[in-house]
Amino acid sequence: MAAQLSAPEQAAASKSHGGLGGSYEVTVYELENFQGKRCELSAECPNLTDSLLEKVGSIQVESGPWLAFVCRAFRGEQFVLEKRDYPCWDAWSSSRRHNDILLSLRPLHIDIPDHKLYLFESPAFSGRKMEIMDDDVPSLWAHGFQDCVASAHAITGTWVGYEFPGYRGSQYMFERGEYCRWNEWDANQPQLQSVCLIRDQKWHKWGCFLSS
Amino acid sequence: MTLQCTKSAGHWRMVVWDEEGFQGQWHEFTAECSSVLETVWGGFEHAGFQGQQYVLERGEYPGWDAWSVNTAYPAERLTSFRPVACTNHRDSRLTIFKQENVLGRKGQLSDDYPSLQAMGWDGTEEGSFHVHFGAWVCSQFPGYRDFQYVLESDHHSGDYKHFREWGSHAHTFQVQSICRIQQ
Repeated sequence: MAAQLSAPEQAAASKSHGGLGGSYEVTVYELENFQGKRCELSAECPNLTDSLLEKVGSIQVESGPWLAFVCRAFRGEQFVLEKRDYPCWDAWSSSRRHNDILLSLRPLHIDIPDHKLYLFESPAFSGRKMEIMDDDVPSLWAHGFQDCVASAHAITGTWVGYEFPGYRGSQYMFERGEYCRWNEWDANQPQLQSVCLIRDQKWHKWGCFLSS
Repeated sequence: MTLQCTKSAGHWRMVVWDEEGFQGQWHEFTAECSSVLETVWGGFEHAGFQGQQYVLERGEYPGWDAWSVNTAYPAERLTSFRPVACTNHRDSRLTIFKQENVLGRKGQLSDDYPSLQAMGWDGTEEGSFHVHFGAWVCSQFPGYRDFQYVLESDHHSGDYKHFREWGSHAHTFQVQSICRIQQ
């Protein structure tokens, strides 16, 4: 059932918008259960209110993944939206408060083929360092990294960091690049306790399911 | 309620505070570390390991929203706890079946799937599972959200043939994300 990704296939996928053969499609609805006014997107939208949606009640991702934000211009709390239906706000948010405010969306670019992330206990890439390669880490504490996470360097791959263990709490996206201080990943404090990779069959052939 | 899960001197340790923010009365649970298997804590909504299930990896959980991924029906307190034996994450193996009783189209899993659909798996409902090695968490929604079910190779002989066997809180065949339990 699982097909392995060959080196030529990996090299063929580009890092540009959507990647080789990759498209992005999402429909956002004002009401829950895919009712009410709707807006279809295939590219980034820095201000959903320009599309006359007062709020977001449900979402259908036909092709992703996407990254949604509670503020305009891709700022504020963020949520990863995989290929699937989200019938109500608590399908995408782990926040305590009722959160049907999403004001911007953009496609999430997947970086391949290798996956390497450095986490640092202090700002500006100083202090103790933890290197994560090619796998998910549900508990940084289990790897002896119980300190703050104050800066990060995503060498390759596209990662999601979480406030709590087991991929819970607020989500923070780490696309390839340097993050000198935790505010650069839109966090209010230097706390991360779990990290995982974004996976999508458009780019990750290993482990994907072939149609029968 | 607050939780802290750690490991020291050959024991798994969990401390539970009655109030949020590590305040109030506290209770300590310990379990011996097996020389063979890794362990995490499982927390349950009700006594006797019933109700919603949560895997509690090592770390700090300052309030119920730190462990509850079900914002529609949050478990604000956990009432029973027990160790969950897992294995080296690279050895974990699970088979997923489209029909009950481990029948029908199947898929072999040895990695995490924050979205089964994003990796080409059809539909949002699964029929049954067989856990070959280790322990896994199946979640109703992608991104490991909503109702979760802990599946262990040393329970039910690894077979979970119907959602009634996934947990007392299970009420649907819907499973859209699965990940290995690992330390």
